[in-house]
Amino acid sequence: MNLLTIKPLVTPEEVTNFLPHQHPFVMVDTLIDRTESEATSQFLIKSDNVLVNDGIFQESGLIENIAQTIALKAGYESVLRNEEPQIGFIIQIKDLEIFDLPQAGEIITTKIKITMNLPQMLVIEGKSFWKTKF
Amino acid sequence: MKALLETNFGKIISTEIQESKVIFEVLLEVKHDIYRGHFPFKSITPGVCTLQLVRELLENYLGKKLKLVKSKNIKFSGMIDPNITPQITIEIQILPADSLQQINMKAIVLGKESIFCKYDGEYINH
Repeated sequence: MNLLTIKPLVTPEEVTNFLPHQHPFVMVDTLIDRTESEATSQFLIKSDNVLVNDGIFQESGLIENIAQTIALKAGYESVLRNEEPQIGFIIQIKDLEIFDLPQAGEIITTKIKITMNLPQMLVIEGKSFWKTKF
Repeated sequence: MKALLETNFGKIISTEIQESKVIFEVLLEVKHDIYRGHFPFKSITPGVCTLQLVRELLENYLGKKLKLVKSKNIKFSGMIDPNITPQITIEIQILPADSLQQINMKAIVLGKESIFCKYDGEYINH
């Protein structure tokens, strides 16, 4: 099953309504799925993305995509409660591994899981995939 | 699109070499297009852009293209508002590596009075 055939919860046209981030620093397109502790997003890497260099999406972009996936999940939930999407910040990243860098024109799928939910802080695990069929 | 240094995200003001450490003074460009989106209401230098800058500075210094493969720990302990602290110091220390294809490093990003980021990274030749 191709994830692109499912109707997303948030589409690329409306994604900036659910994030404090705006163009040109939006690194997530769609919210595919969410539960209380998990979310899946997709992102089409465009060649004019600020974190694309020589046609390749940089590691910094992958990290930002994972962070913005969390932000999008939280923003979607805020909007459902009639609240404004809140700003969050990365304070620590542990055990980062980069296996490959996707090219402009590709779509990446990112899954996050909240492992600790504290009043002012979330601890999450995130994985980003390229050229994987689900 | 090009790398951050090529799009004027930051300008290298000085480079100093101290044993196995290279210290860069970088002036951030407050009018860079990225700040239009991060954020419209207040400019904050994205943490990932700081990481990207570290990599580009290391590439320039070593004269080769690198790819980050691993990082055990990246800690952000403050926010950079380029209107308030446009000048940052980036200290990169090269550490012993297992092979010639690998570069291990740790870096610290500082403002006048505070540490913004501590970062360790393992790169390979691209």
